[in-house]
Amino acid sequence: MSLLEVRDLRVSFGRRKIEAVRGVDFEIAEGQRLGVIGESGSGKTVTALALMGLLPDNATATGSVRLRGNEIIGAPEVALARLRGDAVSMVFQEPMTALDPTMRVGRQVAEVLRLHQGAESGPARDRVVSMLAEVGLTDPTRIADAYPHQLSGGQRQRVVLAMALINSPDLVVCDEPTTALDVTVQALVLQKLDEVLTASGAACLFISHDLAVVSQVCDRVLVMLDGEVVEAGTVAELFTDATHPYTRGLVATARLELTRPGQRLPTVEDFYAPEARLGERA
Amino acid sequence: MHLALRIARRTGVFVVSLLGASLLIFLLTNALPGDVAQVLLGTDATPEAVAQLRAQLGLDRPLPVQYLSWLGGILVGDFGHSHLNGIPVLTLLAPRIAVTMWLVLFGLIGSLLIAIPAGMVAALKRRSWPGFTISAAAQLGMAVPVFWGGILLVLIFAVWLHWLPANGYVPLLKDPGQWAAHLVLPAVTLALVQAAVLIRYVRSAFIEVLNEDYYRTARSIGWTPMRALLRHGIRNAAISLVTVLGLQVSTVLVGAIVVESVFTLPGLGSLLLTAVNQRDLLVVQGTVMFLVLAVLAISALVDLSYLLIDPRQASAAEQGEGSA
Repeated sequence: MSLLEVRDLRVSFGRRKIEAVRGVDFEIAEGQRLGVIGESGSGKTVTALALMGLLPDNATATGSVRLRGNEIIGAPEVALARLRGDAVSMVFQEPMTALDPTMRVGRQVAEVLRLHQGAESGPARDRVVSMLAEVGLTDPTRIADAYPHQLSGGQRQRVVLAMALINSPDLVVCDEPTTALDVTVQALVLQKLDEVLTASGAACLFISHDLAVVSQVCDRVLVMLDGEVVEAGTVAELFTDATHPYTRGLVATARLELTRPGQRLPTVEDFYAPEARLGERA
Repeated sequence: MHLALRIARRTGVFVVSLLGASLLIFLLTNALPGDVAQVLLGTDATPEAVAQLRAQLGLDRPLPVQYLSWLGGILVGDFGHSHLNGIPVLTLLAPRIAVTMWLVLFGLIGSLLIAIPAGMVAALKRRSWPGFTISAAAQLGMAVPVFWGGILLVLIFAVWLHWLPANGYVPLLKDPGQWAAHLVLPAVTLALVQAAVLIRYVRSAFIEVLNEDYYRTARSIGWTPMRALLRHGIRNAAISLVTVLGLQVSTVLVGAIVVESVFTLPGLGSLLLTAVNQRDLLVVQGTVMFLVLAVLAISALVDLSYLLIDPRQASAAEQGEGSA
């Protein structure tokens, strides 16, 4: 049995039931890392929120999401709360706003342990400090006592990473965890993510719009477009035999080293024009 | 260091506001038609007798002189004497301040005890019937005049059920049990009316929290919606609620004055109304001055309380980046 099984997941919003995710199927095995790639509005974040059970009130999800055999869709809030932070955790896109501005970050990380392990504050604090060191924060004791506004974006994102990983979840959902960071910090955070995932053996669903980033972390990739999975395979397969024109466009933009100096850089639109898509829909 | 500067600046604003208020109060009370000398001597008095009494009371002096002598007195703690009976204004005020203070204090605490849980539920369940019910009840509560609400409570709890006294007041030191019993209905009246106003602010402050990323983060680590709000919402919502509360204090005082007259409590309200009717200007000025002082002091405290609630403001104050 896979760790996570998603079958015909459909998510629609509002009274008019506008579908953001239209019949998505995939699985993630223990310790496997799956990348989900697609442009904004393609349904990647909605898929991630659906498998956390964190969709907004006006969303309706159908189909099946099973985590360790537990059905997520339609499960009561209390059951979901027990899974969140324990079996599955999430790293969000926006580190500047993801942490409570009125609470010291060490306490926020420690909350995960208190919630799921009933940890006492003393030992929890030691675990928090060592986890903060593990995600590459120097001077973790000082960071634990800092408020979010006293930290940089890269530091905050690593705090969020520490929160997501401290309770050794089976699956970590990362929603564009490095998009808001500048490129040098991005590389560092990805490297730390890779290290801690390897150390804990957790599986990962990694969402990004950047194939280059996904290929650094993941073994397999799903390509999403307009709420559907249009291509799935290993990173290597995607790079060599992409079938969907949109995927070929993504591959071209991720492999800029193939572009000759002086030549115009490729864009996704060279392979898959939005005009054509508009025509398709009509 | 910079914190001291911020406190000093806030104190400066406080003093200037107080001075401005004193001038305004003086001018407005003196613009009241009517004359205490006329009230004292009755309508049959001759103009000569009235003029003589005015001179005796110092009312014939030019207004700037009267203002400065009043202000000078306040600075040394002398609010003057009642024209009617010669009792010092402070002696008249002191026992009544206690009554109003208890009423306002319990009214505020009560309104928060009602509004915070109700507002949180209204925010969390805003798309289902508990949320609608609370919002509708708050709307209805806002439409109910204070005195009508008070009379209704008296009818139910004093006249029908005989649980509580209908009106009057017993000082705390005289009989604590009776003191509490006499304060319950007035405080509940004030609390209900204030809560109806506050619920809307609490609801929107918590709806804001529900849309914040840190609330989603709290949910993602395993807090249920209500516990996530309690744990990470209250302090963040407090930042905006404290502002509202500071602004509401003056409304609570006005409400307290109405409630006092419904329950015939011997507070500042009845003192003020009697003094206005009798044109006892120094008592009017003293009472209003005290009310202004209370409102300004509370809003200064509100301003400084941000430093305790919001760590961002505290660091800004420490680094001297913040503006008051």
